[in-house]
Amino acid sequence: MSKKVFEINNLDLFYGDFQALSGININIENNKVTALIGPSGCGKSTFLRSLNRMNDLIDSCSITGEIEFEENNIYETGFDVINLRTKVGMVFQKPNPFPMSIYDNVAYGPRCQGIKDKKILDKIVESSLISAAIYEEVKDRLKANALSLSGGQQQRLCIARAIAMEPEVILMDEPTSALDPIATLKIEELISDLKKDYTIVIVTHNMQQAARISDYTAFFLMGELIEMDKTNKIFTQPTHQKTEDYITGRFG
Amino acid sequence: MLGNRKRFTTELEDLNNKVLDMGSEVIEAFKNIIKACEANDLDIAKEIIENDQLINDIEISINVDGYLIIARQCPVASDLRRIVTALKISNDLERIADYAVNIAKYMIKTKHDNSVVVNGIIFLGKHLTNMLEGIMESFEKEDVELALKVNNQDEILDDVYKEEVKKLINIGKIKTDEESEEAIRGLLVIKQIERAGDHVTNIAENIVYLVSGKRVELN
Repeated sequence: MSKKVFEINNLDLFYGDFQALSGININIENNKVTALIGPSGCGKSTFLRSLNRMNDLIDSCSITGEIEFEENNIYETGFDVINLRTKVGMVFQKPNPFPMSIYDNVAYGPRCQGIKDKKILDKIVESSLISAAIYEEVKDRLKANALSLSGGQQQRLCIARAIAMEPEVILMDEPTSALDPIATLKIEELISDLKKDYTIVIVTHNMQQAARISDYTAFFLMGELIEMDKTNKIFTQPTHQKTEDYITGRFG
Repeated sequence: MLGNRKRFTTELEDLNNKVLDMGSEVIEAFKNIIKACEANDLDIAKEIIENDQLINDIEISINVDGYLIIARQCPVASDLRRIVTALKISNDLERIADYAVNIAKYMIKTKHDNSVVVNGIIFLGKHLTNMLEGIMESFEKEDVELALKVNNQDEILDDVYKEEVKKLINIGKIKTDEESEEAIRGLLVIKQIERAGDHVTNIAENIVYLVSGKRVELN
């Protein structure tokens, strides 16, 4: 049994009066890919964002219950959120490179952490781009503007940018929904490679993607976790009828 | 999305119906074996051989449709199990039909007195036909209990088969060369029905998988 990176107990999340998540209990295992699936508005992205406290940016958001990251409750008063977001990186639906060079995009985080030595930065940029499977495509134009890259390349650059912070977990919110099938395939292959070194939690609307790349799948519906199990089990023999109905396209 | 799901559901229903049609044809083949034996009617035996092409065609059609649905719809959960089950059951039914053809060919070719063999075919054939009817009903109704009941009948079929084998061995020991030869050929023929029973148990295993998602070993 792998180590738990996150342990979530009785998580309730409200946007004002609206309850977006109810009584969520999940463990996220180390070096595994966990896919979060469910229809729009089911709470899966809200759940993902609660793992690195991105929901703090929404004023009306309030949370009860516990999210333990490496055995510390991340919502406890005084918890170091900056450090949390260093260890729990995020990649979004739409590639969002900064309007600066490829090199500077990847070096941005380490520089913010105070790393100034050019040789160290060079090494971090190179190894992050290699890990994100984009180095060969950009090694000769590291000073080019990141916005000149294709959508798929931009998304891998964003993954490289997350990797540069040496995180333990990478959260991905529909990372391929804006990409074509070839770019999607590259990201999927990358995710399978990355899980050797990182724990990945991915929100996806693509059932086949969840089936292809994840070890565990969690199905959310109307703010509740209906079922979480090994992906092979969910896609061949789900326990709950609601899961069966959703993944077979009978509703949603 | 809904339109697609509706079409997908229709495709799965069509696939299911083809398996049921194939089952009916195979049951008919064994009923005809019994009729041909009882009336010593070689025309019926020839019809069984000719009709086997239809059964093979249905199997091919189930394969083509099944692979196409997998490629187009990327099925999961019970949808996936339904397609896999259709492919596997049609394979078993095709083999059972082949056994009927082998028996029909034996009837056409044999030239000697073979009443013991023929009686064995009728006796075992009726038991097998009951099993086939039961298993196809269980598939249609997705009735695991009935599938398991039919599966248990295979033990009875095996016991009856062993009795028939004893009879034929005794004939082989004490009768003339001609009758001994016939007894040996008879052993090979009734073995076909025993093997068909094993394929019925495979179908029972697949019905359990279809309904519950669990793989069981019944044979």
